Amino acid sequence: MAIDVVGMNVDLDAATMRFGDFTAVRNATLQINAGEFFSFLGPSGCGKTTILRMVSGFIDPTEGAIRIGGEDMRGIGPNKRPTALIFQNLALFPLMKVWENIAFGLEVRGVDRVSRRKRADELLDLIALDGQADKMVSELSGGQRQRVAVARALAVEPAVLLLDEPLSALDLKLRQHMRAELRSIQKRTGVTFVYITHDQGEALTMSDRVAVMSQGVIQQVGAGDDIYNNPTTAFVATFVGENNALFGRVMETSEGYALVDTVFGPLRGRNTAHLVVGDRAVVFVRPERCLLVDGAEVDNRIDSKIDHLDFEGSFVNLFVRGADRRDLVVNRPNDGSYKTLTPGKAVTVGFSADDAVVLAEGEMARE
Amino acid sequence: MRDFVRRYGIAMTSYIFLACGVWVIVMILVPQLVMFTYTFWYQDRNLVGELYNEIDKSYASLDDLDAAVEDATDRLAKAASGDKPAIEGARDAAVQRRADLEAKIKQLETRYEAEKKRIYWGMRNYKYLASNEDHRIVFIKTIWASVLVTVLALVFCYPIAFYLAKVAPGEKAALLMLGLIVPYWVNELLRVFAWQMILSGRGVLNLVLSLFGLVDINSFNPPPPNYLGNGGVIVGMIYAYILFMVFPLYNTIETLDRNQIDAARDLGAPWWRIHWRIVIPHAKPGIAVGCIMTFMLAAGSYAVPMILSGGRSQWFTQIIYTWTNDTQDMNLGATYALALLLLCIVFIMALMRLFRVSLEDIAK
Repeated sequence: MAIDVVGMNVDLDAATMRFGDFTAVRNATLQINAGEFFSFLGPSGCGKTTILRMVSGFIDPTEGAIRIGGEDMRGIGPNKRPTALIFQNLALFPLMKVWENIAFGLEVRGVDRVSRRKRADELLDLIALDGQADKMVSELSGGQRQRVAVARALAVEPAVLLLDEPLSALDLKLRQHMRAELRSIQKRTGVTFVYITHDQGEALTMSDRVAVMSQGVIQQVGAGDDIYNNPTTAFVATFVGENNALFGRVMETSEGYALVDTVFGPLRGRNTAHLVVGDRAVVFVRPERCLLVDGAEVDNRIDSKIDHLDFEGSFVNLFVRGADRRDLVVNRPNDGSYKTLTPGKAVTVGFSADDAVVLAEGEMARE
Repeated sequence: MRDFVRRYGIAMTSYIFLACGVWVIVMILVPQLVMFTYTFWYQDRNLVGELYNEIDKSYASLDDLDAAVEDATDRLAKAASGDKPAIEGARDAAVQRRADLEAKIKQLETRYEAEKKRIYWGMRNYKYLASNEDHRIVFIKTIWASVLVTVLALVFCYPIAFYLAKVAPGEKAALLMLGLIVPYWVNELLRVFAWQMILSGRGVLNLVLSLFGLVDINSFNPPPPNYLGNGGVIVGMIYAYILFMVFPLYNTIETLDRNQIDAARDLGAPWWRIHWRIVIPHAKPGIAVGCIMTFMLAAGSYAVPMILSGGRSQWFTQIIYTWTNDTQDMNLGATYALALLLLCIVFIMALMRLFRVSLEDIAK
């Protein structure tokens, strides 16, 4: 079925939110395209919920502007904006039946009971809950309630759907299922989804683009693989996925690469941050890009000993003794070879310069 | 039961059961049962009163006769021998009459004592209650006025409770709550008298109105209007019982998840729909409790209608008071009180039905 409303774009224009002395969001500027699945990713307290509340209309930014579909939304309350918000705890109405919950937005708009019921049934079909219309909300499971909340929001045909960490209360398998569901609903309806989460797996698998936030500042905006492979700040490099961090100082730069003097010796990586000689830097290399080499030719090599290994099922995380008690993590698939890797064994870790990113030292995600 | 003993020990369990037993039996069952039995017997107070008067009159007559005998004896002493037989005759007759009267008085007194203690079993109390039209009017008026007080109190207190529970930030809410509670530290009677001072002819309300030139507070003929009477009673009751409506409402509204209100708002609902579809259904048990308490307090109120009616209205409780204190007719008093009790029970059950609220909901 189709909901005949095209999603709108959302513009954050230097939006800043202050609560007294505390600045929750600092100068946020970005553009969310119409019909896009856009995620805000960051740890608790980074300001993503505040941004959601600004876009939904519960608060107005202290400075800057929020535009939806090109129109400035200052002073327009949540009931007047073309947005619908799905709360973290869902906030379904316990004293109303499932279909009444879904049809509430239509009831508000004066739609008659028969049409409302019909519409609710259509939406129940969309979310695969047909037959549950007359149940009470308390009789449904967590995942079902989640879908009812989505249907309730979609019923008012919003141009922008805002989702506040909706999957955080669900167990792993259900979460994975719901990820696919939400993605599919978004594709089918064409509504702009603005999704906030602290789970980077969710953000990467569901979104067209992701904005990584920390302490009120938007660190980087881009598609999932771009954020992962080409982080622009130390925070993004460490928050999204696992990353090995090797500290040092830039010795040399050439043709987009930088040579960094670290405690393991000079290491070469891509100089995406355009650092210059003398800058304090960190070389980031993903565990899965690290190899155990013997004599093979690699750009970078680190000689060390195995500390311990974690068997994770389909892959193995190998912890190699690094400097200042910071282990180097090497991620290998479970091909059986891990059996030969015992603690204390001497190994050489190697990686290519293209797989490493050199960034300025800065705030990093907490372990 | 065994679990109970195991958890709390035999001593504690015995104490709990004893305490509950005493409470239920002594405070609830026994008084109600006594009152109930009182309604089924009566005394012939008229007869007792008549006998009493009769005895009184007889003693007066006795005194007269004594005087007559004395007089006759006197005259006998002073009279001539020829008149003596006649006077003697009169004196003897008087003495005889006196003796007769004394006997009669003794009879009356015996009967009086017996009648004072005699109990008649029957439905006379109920018949009286059913037949007295004036009292029936007062009863209906009391019900109607109590309902009015309940409804007005609900309308007045709902916004206050909602503001306290959902809108006011922490400190402000605490202060407001204190402001509502502090007056209750003053004796209820004194607060009612305070309202009398506000509502009377030369009271505070008229003083304020006179500042705006709306009332001449010093005129004697006609005197300035006073607001005592039906209106005054209703206002006084709402004031006196405000906490009993606010607190149940506050308690239930407080448990409402704020996110639901936000969600409704986000879906486009105007404030009246948010209240109609979300807040009020959630607050139903609180509304029911508040209404029940307010109605019971209003219907059973004595001081407020007594003081604030300015003699104009009459409340059902005042009739009960008349029976028990002025006429000393405890049986009629019990019957009327039972009528009031039954009214309250009927009202509670009707309200529970109306709001579709069960006893458990109210207990919570």
